[in-house]
Amino acid sequence: MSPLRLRSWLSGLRPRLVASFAVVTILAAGAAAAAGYSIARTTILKGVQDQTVLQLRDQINIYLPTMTLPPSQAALDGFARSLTGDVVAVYQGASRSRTGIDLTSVPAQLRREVATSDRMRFMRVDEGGTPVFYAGIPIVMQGADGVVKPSGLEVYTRVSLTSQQAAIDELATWAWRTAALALPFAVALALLAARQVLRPVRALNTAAGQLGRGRLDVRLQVKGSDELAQLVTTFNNTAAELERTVGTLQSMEADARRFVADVSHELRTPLAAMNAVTDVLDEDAGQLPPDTAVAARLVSSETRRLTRLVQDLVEISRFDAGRAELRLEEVDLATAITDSLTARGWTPGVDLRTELPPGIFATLDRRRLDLVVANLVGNALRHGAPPVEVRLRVEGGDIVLEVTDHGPGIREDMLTQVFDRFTKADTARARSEGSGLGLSLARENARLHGGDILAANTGSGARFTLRLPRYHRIKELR
Amino acid sequence: MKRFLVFAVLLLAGGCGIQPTPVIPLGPAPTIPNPASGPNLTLYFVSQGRVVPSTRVTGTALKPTDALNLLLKGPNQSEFSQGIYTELPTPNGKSIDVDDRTVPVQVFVPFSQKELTDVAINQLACTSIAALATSSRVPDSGLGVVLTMTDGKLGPRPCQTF
Repeated sequence: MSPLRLRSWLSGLRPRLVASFAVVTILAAGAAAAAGYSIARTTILKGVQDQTVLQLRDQINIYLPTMTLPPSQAALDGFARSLTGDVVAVYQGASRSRTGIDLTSVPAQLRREVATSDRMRFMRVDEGGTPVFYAGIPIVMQGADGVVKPSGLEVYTRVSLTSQQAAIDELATWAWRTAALALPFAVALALLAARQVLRPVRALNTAAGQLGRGRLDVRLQVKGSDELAQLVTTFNNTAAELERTVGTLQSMEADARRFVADVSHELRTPLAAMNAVTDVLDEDAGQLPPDTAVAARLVSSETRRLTRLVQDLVEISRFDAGRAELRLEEVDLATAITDSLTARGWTPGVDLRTELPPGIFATLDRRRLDLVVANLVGNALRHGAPPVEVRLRVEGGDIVLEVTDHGPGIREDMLTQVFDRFTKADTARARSEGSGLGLSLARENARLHGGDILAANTGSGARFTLRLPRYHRIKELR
Repeated sequence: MKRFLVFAVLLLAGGCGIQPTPVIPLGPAPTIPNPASGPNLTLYFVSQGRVVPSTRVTGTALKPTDALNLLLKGPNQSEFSQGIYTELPTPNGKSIDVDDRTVPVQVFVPFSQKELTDVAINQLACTSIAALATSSRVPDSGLGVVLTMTDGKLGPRPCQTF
């Protein structure tokens, strides 16, 4: 895994959840273990300390009435002997019992405080890694005046806490083990929680992706009533609203297109009648008075323009309605293109150069190819400057037809817009002979074949490139 | 969360193992009876299987013989109510005698050894030594007393605390 992928994986929801759970669990288990350990340690130490001191005090209380002050050496020895543990009895810091611990090992501070005190005292010290407990018990006497004062008699004992330390160390080990044991449970719990959160998130992601690809009917099942369920509900509502809005827009657009189709269709019948009339008018124009002849010719040309516009509108309505049909046949391209040019009175010469290698066959709709060629060459002749070059070649599985002129070219910002409906590259020329639908229709025709048309500037003019698959596959038929 | 972290850090800072401490005071120190503050009598009875000293206030200093014969009579009402009892046999008119002219001191007990438990013998030893200490006749508590029963001698015995 590369560092970048590792980082993006680590910033995911699952590792973050797992890490949070683990940290919280370790902290909680650690704190609980530490608290338990601390309390147990205090209990253990207090137990041994209190037991030692209280037992000594009881024994001293029993023995004391038998003693007289100052005690003899034998009395001190007997006193120390009568007490359990490693005990030394001291009188006025000078004499001590012959048994018991070495007095110099007793911390000086403890001895100093015990000698002047009426309270028992203890102290824990570290003797080269071994914890040791020292207790000092002063013995007081009540004077004749009732004032309590030290009697000079002191008892010291020393208890090694080695076994307690071992017990406490074991406690600590168990505390750590318990905390560590909690970790796998925490991770498992976190994974479970992450899965419960991530599954709906993943489903939402998939659904949102489908929605983005246009499947507006995608919906998710709402489970439970948590925040994620609310999110899913919101998503469903959004998708439904989007579907409704898009549906409304689509039906409105369909209505508009149907209206155009209907209008165009309705216009064809009167136009046919008008065309018949203008044909007659054209023939008779020579016999009319000059002013009337001009008017008759104007009406005639505008009627032809209107006829072409209506034809184009009807044609494009078919594309919009998805009713355009391909009539495929085996076509010799050189012949077909030459026929198209000849039919419109364009003969190859100085202004129109053709480069049409013979023997290139392709499966296409001959009528639609004719429309495209006529439109591209017509545009080049009208808007570009001669010479116009028409070049045909085979490129892989495609046939490519290039129509290049030597005019001013197309403005860069218009290159993609020239195929839009009623777009005019030259705004100064508000009225032209075209319907404004020619290039749109040409591209629709190319796309119907599974190909396309691209516009580009060569530097010395504009070039339109028609690219069609040579052998149309049946399954791509709409 | 912050408070919790502080708590955890404090716990960890408390460290592991056994830490040294400064000098820490515990409870009041034991008091040795002072003959100068008044003549008191200490008798040793039994509580929970162990001898316990019981101090009685007397007007005058009592001789060890008198103290031991008071012990023989058993605990008084207030001592009895504290759960204190004696393991000595009932005297039935017999009495204890003490010879404090010898070293160690001899105590003549009018019972056989079979009649006396270890605790009972300790009662006698402790009470005699305490009485001797009060009267300041024998200074050496470490030496103990010799107990002479009807069927033999025992000792010298000190006062045993356990």
